[in-house]
Amino acid sequence: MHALASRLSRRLRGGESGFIMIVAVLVLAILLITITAVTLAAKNNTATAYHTESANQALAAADAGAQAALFRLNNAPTSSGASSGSGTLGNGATYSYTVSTLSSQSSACTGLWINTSGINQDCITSTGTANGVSQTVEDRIAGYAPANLFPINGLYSNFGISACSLVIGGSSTPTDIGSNGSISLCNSLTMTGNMKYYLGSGASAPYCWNNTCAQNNGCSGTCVMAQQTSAIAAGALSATVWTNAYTTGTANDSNSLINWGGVAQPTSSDDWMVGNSGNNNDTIQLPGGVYFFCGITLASNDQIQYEIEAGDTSPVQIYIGSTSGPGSDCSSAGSTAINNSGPLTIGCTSTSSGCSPVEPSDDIQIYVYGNPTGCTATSTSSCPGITSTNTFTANADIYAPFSAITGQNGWTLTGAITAGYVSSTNTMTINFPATGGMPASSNSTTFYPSAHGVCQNNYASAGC
Amino acid sequence: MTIRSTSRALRHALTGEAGLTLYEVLVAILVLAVGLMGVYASLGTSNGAIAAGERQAAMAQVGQQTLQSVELLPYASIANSSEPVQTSTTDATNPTYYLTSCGSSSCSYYWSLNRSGTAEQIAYDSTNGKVAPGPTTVVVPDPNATTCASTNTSKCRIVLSVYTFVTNVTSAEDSACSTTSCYKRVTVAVKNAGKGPPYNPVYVSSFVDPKGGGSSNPLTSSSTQCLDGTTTVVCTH
Repeated sequence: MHALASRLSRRLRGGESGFIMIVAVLVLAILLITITAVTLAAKNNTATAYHTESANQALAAADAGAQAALFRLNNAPTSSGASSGSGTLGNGATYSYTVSTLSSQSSACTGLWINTSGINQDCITSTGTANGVSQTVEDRIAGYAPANLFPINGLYSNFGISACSLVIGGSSTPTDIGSNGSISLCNSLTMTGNMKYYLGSGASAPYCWNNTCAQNNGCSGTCVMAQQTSAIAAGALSATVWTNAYTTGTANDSNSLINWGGVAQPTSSDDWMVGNSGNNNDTIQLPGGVYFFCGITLASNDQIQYEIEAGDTSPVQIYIGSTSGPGSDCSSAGSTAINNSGPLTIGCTSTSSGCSPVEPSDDIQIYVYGNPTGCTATSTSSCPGITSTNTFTANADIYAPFSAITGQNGWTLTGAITAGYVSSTNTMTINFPATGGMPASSNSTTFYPSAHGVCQNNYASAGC
Repeated sequence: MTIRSTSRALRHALTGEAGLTLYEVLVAILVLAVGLMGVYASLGTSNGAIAAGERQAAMAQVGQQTLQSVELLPYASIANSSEPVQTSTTDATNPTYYLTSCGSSSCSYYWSLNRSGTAEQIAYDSTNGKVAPGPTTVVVPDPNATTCASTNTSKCRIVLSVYTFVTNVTSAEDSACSTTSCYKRVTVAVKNAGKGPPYNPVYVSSFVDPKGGGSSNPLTSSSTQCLDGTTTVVCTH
């Protein structure tokens, strides 16, 4: 200390030049160090920002891969993309994924083992990469077999059934009825089968009729009030069925009451239509195939029949859209799917009606789109469906979960029905046939996501 | 001794004839001035870089948040609520540069950010769509500013324009999607609408599958049970 002071003192006393330069350089050196630190901090800040951006893009790309895998599992389960795949996103990020089967609870994947029998559990592992930054996600997915379009061996209604007398099942074929709403009868009940209903929360009674089941003399055979623990569920058709229905053609026949849109004109007129639907007592015979309509209006006592020819193994499948349907061009028609001004017959019920042999009910299948958002209760006005102003006779399967099926007089049905609302002002007779009566669902297993996780470096999972 | 002698020497140096020369002082001032100018320039550059990094981070964050908010919507609602408007056909840093045929009900988007690539049709649904195509303004206020708002951005620290385009995927890999839409692509572009860099937008993109969620998923039912070890619990989706 003393020596330093002495040197400084000598320097000051000596008045040597350059002292101020030393101070200036020292000040500049300190500033240089400071600015270097600030510059490095700014550079790190920018690098961190870009890394964050890349990490976000990579995470989004990983999610995209998981979504693509889920789609391919559900829509192209036999394709190679259902087990692994890769792709590129527009911002330069890429993804790759693999799908593995989870065989037991100990199989590693994000989320918990789903304790439901009969489902498949898979794990999607997807990695996204952007600018060299990778992120990995895992999705546990569960595959459910599709709900049957016809959940009841007979008559099922989403919102309710109203009739006077109800005769369910013949002497040999048990037939069930079921609803998630009320089952209301004003008179007798005769059935061989089961009555199934779901009592929703807040409902005071799931059924009502003047004579209870136990007191009703007409109740014979098995008469079981089997309350369901959960709502009865009917399967759904693929939305593409309805989307495609009204974009393939706009051909109309000469009768403006029927929109034959989408139907290729048959070469033979008798394959096309026998009679004229604008007249009474006509019979429309259709060969096996798929038909799309906006609505069918028939005159009194008209019939819709299948015409199975030699070598023709396809059933008649009629899809009737509505103004509510996706992609529908049913702008004016379709307030009622099928409407007639007198007795209505769908399918052929006996050889005396002109068909031989009598085909099983699933040879003619009618699918009605209805009004999924408006048809939510026991209403006929908001549920475009099938209406007969007189008796309604059918040997067919009718899938109309958001439509009303009403008969101003009695009903006689052989086949299966899924409807939104069903009513008859007279006796309703339902027979589930020994053969047919339940078209198989065309849907395959549907996978749904159960759990989603982002893999961390220290996450010890098989996929991560 | 030390204090007294040093003080005396300093006084002598400042008042004596053997003090600093004018030449020394001028040179020192010059050196300091040049150095300080460099420091000032470096500080400006660093400050700009810090601000740009801050904006870049904000753009990435806003992009991810916007994408996640879209992914949480019901599938039917994941569609643009109005048709996007193309505001530039020459500026590639404008996200709408990659739109085409808008205004004719067939608005499409070059999702690969390459106008010679494949364009996908915008999923536009004025009834069910809940995704505004933008640009919507997102602001970050300055800590000292009290008047920053999306409608008055002059006092804002960061001003961003967010574009969100929903398109129907038409992938060659997914033959089922070749003619009709199957799943959707959501592209979020965040552009700095304030001064300075970054000039290029941040793009965040992902897919949404129809079965990705929603009430139809049986796993959202409280009756679906999961095993947590040996304990049965309600599965939470």
